[in-house]
Amino acid sequence: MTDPQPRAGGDLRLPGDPELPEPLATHGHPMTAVARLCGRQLFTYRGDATPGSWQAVAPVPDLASAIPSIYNAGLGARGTSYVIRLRPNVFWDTEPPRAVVAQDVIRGLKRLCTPFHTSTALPYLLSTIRGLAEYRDGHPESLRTPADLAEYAAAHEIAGVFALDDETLVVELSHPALDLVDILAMPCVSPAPVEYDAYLPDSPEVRRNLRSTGPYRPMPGPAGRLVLAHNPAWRAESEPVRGRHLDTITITRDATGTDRPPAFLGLDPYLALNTRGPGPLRSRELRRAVARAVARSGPSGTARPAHTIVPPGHDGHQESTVDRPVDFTDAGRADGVELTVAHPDTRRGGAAARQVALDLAKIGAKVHLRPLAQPAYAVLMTRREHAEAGEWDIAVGSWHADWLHANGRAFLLPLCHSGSVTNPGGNGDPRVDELIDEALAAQDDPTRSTAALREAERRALADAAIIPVLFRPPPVEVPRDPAVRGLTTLSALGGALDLAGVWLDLPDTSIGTTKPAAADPAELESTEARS
Amino acid sequence: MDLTVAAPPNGTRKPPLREQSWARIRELFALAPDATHLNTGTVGAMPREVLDTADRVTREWTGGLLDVYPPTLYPEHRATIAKAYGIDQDELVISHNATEGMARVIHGLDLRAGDEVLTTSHECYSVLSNFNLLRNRHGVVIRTITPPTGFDVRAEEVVALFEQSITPRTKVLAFAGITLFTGMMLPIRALCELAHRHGLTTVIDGALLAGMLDCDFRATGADFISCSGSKFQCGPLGTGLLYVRNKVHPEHNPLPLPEFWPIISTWYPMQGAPPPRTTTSVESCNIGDYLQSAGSASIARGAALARACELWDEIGRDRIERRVFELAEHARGRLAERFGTAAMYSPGSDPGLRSPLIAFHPFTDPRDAWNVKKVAEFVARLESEHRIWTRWTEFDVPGSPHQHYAARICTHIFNDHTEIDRAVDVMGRLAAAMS
Ligand SMILES: Cc1ncc(COP(=O)(O)O)c(C=O)c1O
Repeated sequence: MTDPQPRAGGDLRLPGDPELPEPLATHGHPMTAVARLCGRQLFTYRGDATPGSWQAVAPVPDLASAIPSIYNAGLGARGTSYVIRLRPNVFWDTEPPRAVVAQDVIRGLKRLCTPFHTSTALPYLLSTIRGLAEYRDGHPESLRTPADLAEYAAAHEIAGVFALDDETLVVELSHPALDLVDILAMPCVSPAPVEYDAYLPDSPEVRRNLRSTGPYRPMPGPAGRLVLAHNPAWRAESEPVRGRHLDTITITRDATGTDRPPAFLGLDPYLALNTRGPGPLRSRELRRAVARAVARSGPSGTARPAHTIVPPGHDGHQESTVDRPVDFTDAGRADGVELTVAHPDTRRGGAAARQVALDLAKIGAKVHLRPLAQPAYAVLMTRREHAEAGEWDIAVGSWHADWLHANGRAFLLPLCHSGSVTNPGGNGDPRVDELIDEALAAQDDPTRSTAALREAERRALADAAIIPVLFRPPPVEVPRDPAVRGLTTLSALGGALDLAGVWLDLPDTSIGTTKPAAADPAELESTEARS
Repeated sequence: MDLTVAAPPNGTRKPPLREQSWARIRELFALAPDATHLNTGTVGAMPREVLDTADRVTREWTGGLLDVYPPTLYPEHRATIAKAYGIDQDELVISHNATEGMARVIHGLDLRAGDEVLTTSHECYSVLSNFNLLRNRHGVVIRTITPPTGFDVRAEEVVALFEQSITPRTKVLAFAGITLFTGMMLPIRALCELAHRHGLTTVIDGALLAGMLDCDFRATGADFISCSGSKFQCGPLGTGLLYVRNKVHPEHNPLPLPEFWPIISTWYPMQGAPPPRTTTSVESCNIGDYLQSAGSASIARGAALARACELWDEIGRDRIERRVFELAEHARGRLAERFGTAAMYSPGSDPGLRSPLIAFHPFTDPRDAWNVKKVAEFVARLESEHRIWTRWTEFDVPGSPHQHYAARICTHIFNDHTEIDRAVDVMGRLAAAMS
């Protein structure tokens, strides 16, 4: 049976946050899928591929004209120099439309690496692109204004990233990395237009002045609602991946969705233990007692108990040797110990934290739960100052791989390396860092790299600075509307929805006659208050 | 290019090729008169007779019901060609190209997990990819060194670099006789002697050697040399020569023959095993036959390559080598004059490292060395605006974080001084205009 041809028109209603972040802030953000409709990346993934097939996991060119390889003079034999050629006829939705150039990609990377926003994707980038960490570390503390930041960006280059001309970008790596193209496919690594120099990264001001390169763009709309409409600067002929069938997309918190988990597992939740603070979990014995006390029982269905950090289905996964039920007489006691458990105030986060509290009560610990709204939680999970100040002892986290092939580093680097911004609690075993560094340096030799990562994982588990709890697919909600067609889940980008193929199978009469919510002029005028 | 087959001039008895001028020898080649072919490192120009042979033999064997298998062992062709390289028929295989020869050696060696191969980052992609396959398949460890570049590189430096990287687990030394990227001729004999001292098997990518050097393969001391037939040997595309040491001549290589599995072979017995490899100067089997016999093959291909080799013998391989290098030194001198020795990636001071492949940086700004666009455009414009055929290469340079790109020219017997002078002149002007 052949699928019916997509029809044009209609308004798609999506549940979600009615505030679109700047692309650099999309990593791990629930709005990633929506952001990907407005902002294009150098590379991306096909939404229409058969799940599990190589086409589903292999990146494809997006802004780039090809995947760099030896055959197109895009990759040197040493594996540390990529030449990326931009596709012509991709424009910003400026007046008049202005071409996206290599300098925009560099600006995007620079904005991603400032003290003003800490992306959870940084561990991948900083450990790979030559000179990026130095660029980020070089920001003086005195920077305050967008002008300060733009001045720093103008005066400093990323040693390993440069434009040969408007269409050609060179990216040099500190060591061969088989996943560079996947790293550059994350929506947080999007180009930024020169207009953004007037705003601080992901500030409320820039969010009100976003520029699009994708098929849709955000429109000023009423508070509590985000409306995407056609981007007139987008050209289908220079867009190999995304389609555009809808008139508008409206995102509101009250729209309803249903769970549709993708077929791969992440680590969700895990517990990060604070080894950096003054709290009791500096003690490895106590951390181990906590690790043994955690019950690892989750909702029935797709969740499985996790005894390792790398989930099944990802490079380097190893079967655990510890898979026994907890015997609390032998778990080690924590009588009288008081522990603060920070967690996101989400359904999953709250449930995980309550379970931890129950488990730890069994070994005598007293738990204070500290639910945090998304922005505060993000800060807590990326800033070690809070750990060092002892503001938390245990943090509930979740991690889903951004790409699904050659992804050996995707869990251990961000979660276990003490230098990763995504490991605020640090670790108690310096050898873990060394092993991860060794693995990163040997990525061109997957056998060696994987062996080092597995050893790092075993040591990290023994150190108990991170406690895996469950393996679970990422939480993906799809709209309930029965007219929705062409909706797929990407096998990369943490299972983000591919909204670019979506169309609505509405009765003929409604196409073109239903007035999309945002197109109501009265509503469009009452803007401004959207933030 | 004009590919019509020239008829021999009527009724004239030609003097032997050995006595003919280089201008007359140039006429043997199917080359357009206004084209300057300075890219033999990628593909040579075929003599018309070679083209004719390929054509004729294809027709002879088309539509007949003859037994096509025996002639694909090419026994006579192999014997004749082997003689030119100082070896015997049982040590030579007519392969499909340098890559195939290298792959059959790399995968035919008896390497196990933990064994180490020492090679360079300036090997052809096809060599590095085969080693990577070996690493993934068997856990063989591949160590690569980055050879030094520049006009003043010396052979001792290169040998020392290899020597430092040999470990107790090293089993194989693999390197290009001449690298395609910077055109450095590696100190082949010195490296083979180094290998002998450490008991290592030597695998040489000789893609660029055949047809250029008047070379005694046995005297190099190597175990394997895989050559291209279509580059300096000017045979058809899809031809190569593979030397496999099959007897022990201690004065050249005192080591026992390495264990070797002739993968892809119809000749390999279907029961039992071939006799043990010899320990003397008398072969115990025809290893060349094992490798040569691999199903049906193009008979014309072998005949045409053999014809190219015969022509080379007739012209004189010693004479060819002298000419190629004399032209190369002329070109190197002109390039150095025009662009400065600092612009040269190819060795110049040490005569032993020079080859007729010369790679250089054409522009005044050294940073353009990592501007692939500019270097590629330079080469493209030489071709489209001036009909000068060169190529650009890319490689890593010790201590530099960048991938470097260079323009590369090659000299061969169908080139002459005038066209080299013109080419250097054009390159100088074009580079200045682009700088
Ligand atoms: C040094 C070297 N090795 C190997 C090759 C591959 O040769 P072939 O096409 O004969 O396989 C080349 C081709 O340029 C080369 O220059």
